[in-house]
Amino acid sequence: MSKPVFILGLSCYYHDSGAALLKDGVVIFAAQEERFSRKKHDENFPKNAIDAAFAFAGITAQDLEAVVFYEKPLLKFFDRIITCAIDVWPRGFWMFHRAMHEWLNKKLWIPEHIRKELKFTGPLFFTRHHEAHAASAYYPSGFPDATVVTVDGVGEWATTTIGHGEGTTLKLLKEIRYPHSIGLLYSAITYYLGFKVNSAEYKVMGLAPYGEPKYLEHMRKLIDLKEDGSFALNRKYFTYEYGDRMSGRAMEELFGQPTRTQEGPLTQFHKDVARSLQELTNEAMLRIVRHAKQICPSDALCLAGGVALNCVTNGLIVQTGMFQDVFIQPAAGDVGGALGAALFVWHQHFKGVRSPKMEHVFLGTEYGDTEINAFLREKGLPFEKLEDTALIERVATLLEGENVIGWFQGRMEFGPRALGNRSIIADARNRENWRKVNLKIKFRESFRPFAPTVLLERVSDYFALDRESPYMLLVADVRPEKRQEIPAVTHVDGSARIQTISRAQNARYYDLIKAFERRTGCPVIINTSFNVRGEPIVESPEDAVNCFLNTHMDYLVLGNHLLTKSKMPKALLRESEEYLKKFELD
Amino acid sequence: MFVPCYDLIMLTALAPLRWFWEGWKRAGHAIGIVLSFVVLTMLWIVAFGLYALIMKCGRVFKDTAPATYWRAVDPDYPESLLHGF
Repeated sequence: MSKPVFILGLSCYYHDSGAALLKDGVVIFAAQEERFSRKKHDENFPKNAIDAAFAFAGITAQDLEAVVFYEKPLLKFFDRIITCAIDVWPRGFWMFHRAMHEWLNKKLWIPEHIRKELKFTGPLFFTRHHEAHAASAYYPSGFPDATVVTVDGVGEWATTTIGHGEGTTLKLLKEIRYPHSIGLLYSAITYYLGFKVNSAEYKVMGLAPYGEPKYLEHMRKLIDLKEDGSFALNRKYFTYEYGDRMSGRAMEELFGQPTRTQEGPLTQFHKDVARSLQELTNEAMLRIVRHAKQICPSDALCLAGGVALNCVTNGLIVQTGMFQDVFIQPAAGDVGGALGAALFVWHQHFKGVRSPKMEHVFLGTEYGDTEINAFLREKGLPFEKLEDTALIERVATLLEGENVIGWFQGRMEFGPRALGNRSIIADARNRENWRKVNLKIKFRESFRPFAPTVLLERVSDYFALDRESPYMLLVADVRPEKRQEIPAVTHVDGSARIQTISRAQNARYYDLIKAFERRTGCPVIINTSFNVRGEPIVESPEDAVNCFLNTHMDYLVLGNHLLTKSKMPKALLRESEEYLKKFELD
Repeated sequence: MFVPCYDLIMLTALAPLRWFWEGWKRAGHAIGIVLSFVVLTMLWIVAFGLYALIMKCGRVFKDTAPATYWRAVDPDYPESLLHGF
């Protein structure tokens, strides 16, 4: 029997670092570093994620055939960073200094650093940033051929690319280059609206339905958008090329209001700007995808890059019917680059057979019942241990009404979404649950909506969607007659960010919702990530218990163990404020 | 055996001077920061400045309204995956 080929993909040193491990072209492990370090969007070398990957596979770095980094650092520095410093001269003095310190001290030595950290002497590969994104979407899609579109902030030079995949071949054909970027435009407005850049863009997306597109014409001054989807930003409104801030006075004069301060009051103006931005993003993305279809015709579309996490736009692309099938990489942001980089090298360099379709994202760490049991006993926490069927029935019963339940099962999800293994769940029929989970458990902004998980076979009964959406990446309307039934997951404009679930994807989570449906007739529940605001999603039973004890969550299910808040020792229950202080607001 | 013993003796003998060594390191770090600032500033003003001015002059004659902003992706060179550029 020949030795298996292990390839490790890495993304780090910008934001959202992570690692992905392939065995003979099959993704066997993938995780973000933030889950282990407990630092949201951690950009450091993903040592913990790598250790977890090695432990899962039972290997060491010496067993790796290759390590792949998701960018070309030298190209980025000598080409883009230096060229841009010259381009914006005489502005950007302090930025130049900071960039030089960062690059000369750390980023130029990425290969050496990787080798040192891993003690790895084998071949080290580098893909282009957008090649990694494209590969992360195309290879796991299962499509024999596909049009491929990637859109994000920036990689080396490219910010948007169009490519084509066929069999094991993947080629990028066209690109838009920095500083012109839909991702950076979105981030600049995120900054203008007082939210954290590279972190809170999804909040702007959630805010948009509260507004009207009153500022769409103002938005059009920011960008020259051609009919073929190509675009150039009007650089006078943006300051990210030479300053700390994303936008400045010109943007404030354009919209007639100052930049909102973080945590400042949110007015109708901010909601209207968010909506206008969403409309512009939709328009740009639809044109890009239409042009991509013209130059790389295919019945299937693959999407990746941070902008592909905009589920409103994704929903519109699906609705146009331009493509029979659409696959969006669930870890569409930079952490997905680790996966894409490894897949790209497996297919392009090792000439490996085509990777199988990605059927789920449960690719992270797992804790068995023995470990959980030992942990709970060590901590002296009272619990009930239930058999599988009894557990499902009990939790389904508890879900009815106003209970909020922490649900910790199986392998951790890869990517930004909790999809049923590290989730907080509640009854979607109770409007009060929206307020309760937002303000008393997640401690986040009251305007933010919750996503529903719905049984795949019932999705069309409740939503205007005729296909699966297993990764919560599509927004569709809740059917008007159902909006009163599931108010906690119906956004202000009648839409919902849908996750469909099938038994093949996650049997236990499916069985739970099925049991809930048997009791109530409703196949929909609230599913939100298991964390508080600013905290990475929980990774271990310890993280889950900490979150449970420090919030107003009513029950916690760890594997087959059920913990009840009212039975917890009073000495262990702490003030939420203390817990929240540990995490920087996002 | 001789070398470790010698090291031990030297370490013990020089222990009282450790404050000097620590101070020197701190001073060296501060001098490094100042020098790198000066060198980078000179680079930014002289080399980058000169090049930037030439570039800006050249741009005066450039067509600023292309029909499309799409551009062809640079082709990969052989073995490009093995290099960080």
